[in-house]
Amino acid sequence: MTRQRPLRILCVASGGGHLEQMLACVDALGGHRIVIGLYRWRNLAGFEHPGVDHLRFVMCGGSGSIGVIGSLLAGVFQWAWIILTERPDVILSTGAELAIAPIVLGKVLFRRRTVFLETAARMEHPSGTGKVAYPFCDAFFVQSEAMLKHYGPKARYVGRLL
Amino acid sequence: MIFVTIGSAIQPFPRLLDAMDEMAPRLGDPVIMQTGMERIPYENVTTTGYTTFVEIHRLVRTCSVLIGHGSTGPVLMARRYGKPVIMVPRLPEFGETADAHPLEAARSVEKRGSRMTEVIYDIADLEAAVRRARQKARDGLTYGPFPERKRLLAAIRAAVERREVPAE
Repeated sequence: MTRQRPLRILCVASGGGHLEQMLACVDALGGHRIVIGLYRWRNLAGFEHPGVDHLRFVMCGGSGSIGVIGSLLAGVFQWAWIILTERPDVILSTGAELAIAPIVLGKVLFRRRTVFLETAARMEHPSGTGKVAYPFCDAFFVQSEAMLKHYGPKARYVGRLL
Repeated sequence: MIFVTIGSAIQPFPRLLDAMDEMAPRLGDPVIMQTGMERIPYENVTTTGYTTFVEIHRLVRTCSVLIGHGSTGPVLMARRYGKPVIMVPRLPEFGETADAHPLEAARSVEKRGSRMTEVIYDIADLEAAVRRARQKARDGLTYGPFPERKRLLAAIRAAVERREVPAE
């Protein structure tokens, strides 16, 4: 494997399966400096994982369309602050909607490299997050061949986590 | 110990929880269930409502069989700790999920999963599946190689490092 200087990677994942998929990626990113950005949930007390330097939290949004729009707007400022202070070289995400703000901001405003992995829960139909994030990603992976038809030529299927 | 997790969805999932409570005395193994919003007391099992990421990982690491709802988290945790896993997808027709996407993960695992995974749709089939999974644990069965996973993770590393993504 090519050695290069350690990159600063901001990994963005909401909880549950998105976070488990991100941790599988983190295990494959040894040697880089990993910060995970995620919703502030009490259930992450005591979290640690080999290779993860620290966590950054954003406020958890409400439910319903007003809650989602509100948390997207609030998220813009929180993510801008996180990107400014963490200075990532790369923003990597496994979704879900939490990822939209850091990927769009990271690409448009901060000109960072952006990589997105569509969740393994989406083997046939694309996620809303994937559709919004796609144009702002430098690399975009899906986890089944059937998903390729929903995205442009940048999307790649090279394998899957389950 | 058999560990059952139903994730953080707000919809109830009594189909799985009631079946586990009912079969627990016959299994003879302690059963721990992460029950989320469910407040119903169960007779034969230990429950945790919502619990922490750290505690869920500890329970998966120490269980002999993991039973999870239909999505990606339990399958990935089971692989991490080498445990047999049974997926019981939440089904929209029973009001157990707001959308059908957990079924996409379950169908994929059913079609292409490993010998350590099993997907159960009809709850009447669950007890036999639990006994099969427990036998796998007793036999020391483990996960086989998974080249598709290795390829994906290598490609993600390459994309992060701005190298050429290896060809399929």
